Amino acid sequence: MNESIWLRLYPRAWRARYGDELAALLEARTPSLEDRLDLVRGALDAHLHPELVAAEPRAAGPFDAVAPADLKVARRLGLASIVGAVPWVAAWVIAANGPIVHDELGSYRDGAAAAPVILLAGALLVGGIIGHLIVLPRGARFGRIGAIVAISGVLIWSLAPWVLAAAIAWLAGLGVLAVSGWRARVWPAWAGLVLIGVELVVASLIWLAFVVGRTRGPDMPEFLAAVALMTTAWLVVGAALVRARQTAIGRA
Amino acid sequence: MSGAMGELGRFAEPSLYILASLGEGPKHGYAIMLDVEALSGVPLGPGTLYGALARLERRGLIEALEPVDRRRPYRLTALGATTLRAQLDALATFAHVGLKRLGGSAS
Repeated sequence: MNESIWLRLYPRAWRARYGDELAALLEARTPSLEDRLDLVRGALDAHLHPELVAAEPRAAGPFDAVAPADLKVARRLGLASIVGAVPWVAAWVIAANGPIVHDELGSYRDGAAAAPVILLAGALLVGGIIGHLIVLPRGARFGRIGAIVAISGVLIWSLAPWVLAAAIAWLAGLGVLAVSGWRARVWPAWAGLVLIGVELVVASLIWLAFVVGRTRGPDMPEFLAAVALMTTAWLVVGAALVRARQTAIGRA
Repeated sequence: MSGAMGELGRFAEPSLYILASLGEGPKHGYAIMLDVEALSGVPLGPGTLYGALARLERRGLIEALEPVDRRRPYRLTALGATTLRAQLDALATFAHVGLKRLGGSAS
C-alpha cells in the first residue's frame, strides 16, 4: 500500500509544510494500525487548527481582475436574480389557476394574467446574467455568447412563452455560460452541475409537454414540473454571483 | 504541566518528550519517534508527532533546519531549552516531594 495516501487527509497548507518529511517517515517505517488511526486523528487536528501552519501564498482569485465597484454591482444583480425566483413561482401559480377558455380548438386554461409577473421574473434573471457578464474574464468568449443568447431567450420567452425556440435558447445559453464560468472559476462546480442537470430534466419535460402531450395550457403536470425546476436557474445564477469575493491580493 | 506546555492539551506530554529528545541535539522526525519510544517506553504515533512538532515550532520552542533527503531535522531554540529545563526542574521537585512523602508514610 502506498502510505503517502494518508497525507491526502491533511489540509493542503499542512502537506506543503510537513508532507515531504512525514512521507519519508512513513516510507522508513511501515505504519501499524495504531499509526494509521493516529494519522487520521492528526489530520482531523490539522483541519481543526489551520493556524498551526502558515498558509500558502494564495493565488490571485477569479474575481480579482474585476473592479470592486463592478463586483458590488454584480453581487446585487445576483441578489436580484435570487429574488426573481419569487415572481417566477408566483407567475405559474397565477397561470395554473387561470380561467378555462373554450374555443374552436377545445378547452384550455388561460394563463395570460401571469404575463406581467413572468416578465418581471425574466427581467430579474436577465439582471443576474448581466452580473455574470460583468465578472466573466475577457477571454471567456463562449461564456459571453452564451449569456447573450440566454438573455435574448429569456426576454423573448418572457414576452411570448409559446415560442419554444426562445426557451431552448435560454436553456442552451445558460448551459454554455455555466460551463464557461466554471472553467474561468467564476462559477463553482456545484452550480454548473446543478444548472445543467436541471436543464436536461427541464428540456425532457418540455419535450413531453409540448411535443408528446401537445399542451395548450399552463396546467399540464410535465409543464408545471419543468417550470418548478427552472426556479433553480434564478437561484443558481444568483448564488454563483452573491458568493463572489476578492482575495486579499485583489483587495490590495 | 505548566506554562507554554500546559496550553498544548493532549500534545503536552508528547511535546515534553520531543523537547527532551532534542535536548541532546538536532533530530529528524523518525529519529525523534524512535528516541521518544526508547525514552518513555510509549510509542509516539506519526500524527501526534507532527501535531506536536507543529505546535512547538509555532511557539518558538523548536526550529526546523534545512532538510536532508526529505528529512528535516529540528533543534531546540533557546526558549525551548529554557522551557524544557523549567519543566524538568518542576518534575524533579514533584518527584522529590512525592518520593519523600511516600518514604515518610512508609516508615
